[in-house]
Amino acid sequence: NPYAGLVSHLRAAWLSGKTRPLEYRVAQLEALGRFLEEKQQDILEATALDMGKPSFEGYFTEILLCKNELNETLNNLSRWVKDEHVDKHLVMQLDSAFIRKDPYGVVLIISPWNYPIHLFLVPLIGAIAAGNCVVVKPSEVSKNTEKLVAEMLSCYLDSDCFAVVTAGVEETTRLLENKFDYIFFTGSPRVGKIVMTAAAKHLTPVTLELGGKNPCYVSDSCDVQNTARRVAWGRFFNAGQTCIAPDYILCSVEMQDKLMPALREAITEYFGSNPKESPDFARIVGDKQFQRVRALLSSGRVAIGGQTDERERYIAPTVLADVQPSDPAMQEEIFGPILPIVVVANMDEAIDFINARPRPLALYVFSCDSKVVNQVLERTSSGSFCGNDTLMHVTLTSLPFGGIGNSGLGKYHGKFTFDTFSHHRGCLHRSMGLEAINCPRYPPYTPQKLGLISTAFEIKRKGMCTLL
Amino acid sequence: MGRTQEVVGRARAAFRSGRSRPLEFRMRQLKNLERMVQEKEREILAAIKADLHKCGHNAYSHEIMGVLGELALTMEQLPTWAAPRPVKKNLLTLRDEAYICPEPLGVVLVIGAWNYPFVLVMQPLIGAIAAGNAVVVKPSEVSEHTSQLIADILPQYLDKELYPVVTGGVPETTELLAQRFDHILYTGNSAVGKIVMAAAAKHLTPVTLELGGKSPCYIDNDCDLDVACRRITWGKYMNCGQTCIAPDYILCHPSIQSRVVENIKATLQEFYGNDVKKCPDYERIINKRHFKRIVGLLEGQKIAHGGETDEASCFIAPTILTDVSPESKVMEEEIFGPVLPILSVKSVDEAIEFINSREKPLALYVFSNDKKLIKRVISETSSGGFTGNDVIMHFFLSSLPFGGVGNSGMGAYHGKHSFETFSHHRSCLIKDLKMEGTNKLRYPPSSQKKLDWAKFFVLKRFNKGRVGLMVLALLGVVAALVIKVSW
Repeated sequence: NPYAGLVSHLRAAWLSGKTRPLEYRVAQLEALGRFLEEKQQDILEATALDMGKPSFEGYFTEILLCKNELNETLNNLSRWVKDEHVDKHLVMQLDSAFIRKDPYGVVLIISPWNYPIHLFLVPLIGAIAAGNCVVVKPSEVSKNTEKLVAEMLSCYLDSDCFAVVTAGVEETTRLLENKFDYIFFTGSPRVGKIVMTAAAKHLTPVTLELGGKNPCYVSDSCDVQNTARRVAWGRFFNAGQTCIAPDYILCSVEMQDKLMPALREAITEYFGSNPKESPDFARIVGDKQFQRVRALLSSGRVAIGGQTDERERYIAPTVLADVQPSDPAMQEEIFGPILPIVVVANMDEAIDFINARPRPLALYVFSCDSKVVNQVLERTSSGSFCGNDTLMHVTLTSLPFGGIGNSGLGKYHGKFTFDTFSHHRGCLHRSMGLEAINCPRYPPYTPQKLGLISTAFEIKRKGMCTLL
Repeated sequence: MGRTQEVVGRARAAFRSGRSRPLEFRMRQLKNLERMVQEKEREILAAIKADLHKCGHNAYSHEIMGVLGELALTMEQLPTWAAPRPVKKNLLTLRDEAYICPEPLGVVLVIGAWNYPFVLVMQPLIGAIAAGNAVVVKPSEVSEHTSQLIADILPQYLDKELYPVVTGGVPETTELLAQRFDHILYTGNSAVGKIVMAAAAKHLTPVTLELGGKSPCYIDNDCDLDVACRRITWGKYMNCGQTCIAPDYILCHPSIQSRVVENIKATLQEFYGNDVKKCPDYERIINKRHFKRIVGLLEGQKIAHGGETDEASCFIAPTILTDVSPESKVMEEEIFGPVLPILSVKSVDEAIEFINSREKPLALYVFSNDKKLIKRVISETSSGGFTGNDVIMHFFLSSLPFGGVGNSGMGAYHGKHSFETFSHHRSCLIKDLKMEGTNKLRYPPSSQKKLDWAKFFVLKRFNKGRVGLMVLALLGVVAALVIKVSW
């Protein structure tokens, strides 16, 4: 077991109690803030090398949103760590009843390559805030960022309590053989199952942030220009390599005709007439992924884009029209700059289409009619939902971010990350006196005692429910 | 496959129909459950008596009262719990609707245990129904009378397709676990807990595992020993020690060990009289297998009190062991029986170290007049739950989440926590399709100007005072207009 030494080193640090004091956690979080500030240029360069990430995007997701989470946590941590006092029974009025937020111990964060800083840093913020020791396993696919994190994080964080492990598939499998007290995984459903199975051997709780095909229903009554711009932005951000990107459009054949020129206009506005030359359009992260995404182009007909350049791992912002459910682009999460349009007759058909498939991480609806938005919301299920825009729900730290079914389990962002990495321990601190109150519960049992207990513990209904 | 697959398939189709979602429907089912518990009280108590030799008083206070309380609380609070929860917005989303919508997960599986066979199925069921799910109930086959009763009466009061009961042993449970569920709540032991979680992993099904372990009980020198021992005796020997949160073993200074023994003996006399075997208030071990297991733990131990057994009736007298070695068999596994080992520790430091060197327990108990000491133990240890100066009682406060940590489990339930466990918290952001102005700053082509505006809108460095917020809102509108004009 090649990682046994590392894990036991961290566990010893954990048992020493070093990570528990609030001041320690704050100091480590502030160090993370300095990492983001001082290494900002290195981060933007590394992600540019890894997938041609435009510096605007890199700054927005890898620096800005991370700082947001950090500030939210630092602003509120002293409140979050406090014992949460709860309502008490009649017999417990003199007792102290509260929920204590305990750290789990040594936790593992496995992150993917598409937002390689953000997707380990945001969970890490919560894990540190909650008082844990952490092992971070960044993705080996985004090689340059992996190297940066491995080399530089230890300059900022306490290496007794926080470690970075660089590992490929095989080593990660060995890493998962160790006992962790929590595992936070972001990646594909297939690997999610492997992680959870490994966790089951140690009864380790998990959060799995997975993926799927995020549907985007565009109703006939909508502002076509704005819809096209928002959808195009969400789809082609990071060259489509976003777990919450709108994966495919569902709309009527008339709307498909209306959307096409609007999409073309938006793409040209964003990336110019030759997106290959735009500094604002990313590339596919690796050759394997490039081959996979390129193969999806043989779906429907290419209405916009379709050009590729293997050397640069460039795939043009592409819109496919008249895509069939049986086409390659509809068989897997696209994770690339290809937007298929699947024609449906109406909203009901769109809802049936969505419900016949695994529950997605995100669901999008565009309509000027709020009734349509609400209908789709009520009749479907998804990790999260955004009406009349794409991606933006993740910028709000007060909204929990997570999947359901195949798209994941658990949630994080803002306080939810802190809660994810804390064990909520129910505590009752009773008084040693007033033993008389306890007497009705002791044998020998009598009907009188039972009557007393019932009265003391009974929760009476406050009148009839007004719903009925 | 066959029958179980059919049952689960029907539950899923019933869930898909949408009928378990409206609040009125859920309330009606909960009201029916309440009627069931009230109308079938006698049958329920009789079944529990047949399974565990539990007298009416005990069965009522342990299994019926809690369920009625949970039903009353849930029915009263459900409209509040189920309502969409608006969240704090940032400058960029000020004009939007942002809220969390609690939604049902789908088809939930509840696997019960035999020691409190009614309440351990009913409490999860209440929460799962309240959250709008379909629920497959699998009571423990070991408590066969209660299991059969549940299978008989539940369909008489609840929607048969949405809330089916599946009875059976290991083969039926294995078959069930091969199906896809949207949440599984399992109560039982850690070994099976791992099997349940591994099966759940195949479908990426979230789980709540209510497991067990050895719940330590530390008695400080500075405490009212009389009161402490009475409370410990009550919690240890109720249900013949077959309680997941029973104080499993005692840690105390050797100088008070004999007084602890004397106090417990006196309390046992008070509770069960001279002939505990004849006392109607004392239960029996569930079956021969567990009987033999527990008797085996007594081997080679110093019995300070009790030790009498009778295999025919699965009777084991309330027993106390002294000077127990940490390496002995009785300290290796959860006792789950009326045997109370006492181990010596020289100080609270030693007690904390002892506790921390073992798996995290489901419950932890400390008796002391020194409030600081109690606080210290809480802070320096980890456990599912905790009660200071008493045992068991945190279970009865439904505002406290009830669950384990580490080997003692994951997830929690009771009261509102059940509703949360069985719900999906769906984030919803509804924007205006007009008002494209502020969006422009995020679209390519990028520029330093756009970046600066992005920082202004997204970074939360602001004072949250109301006036500050209003000024910001005004600034936001002005900014949107400015951007609209300049782009």
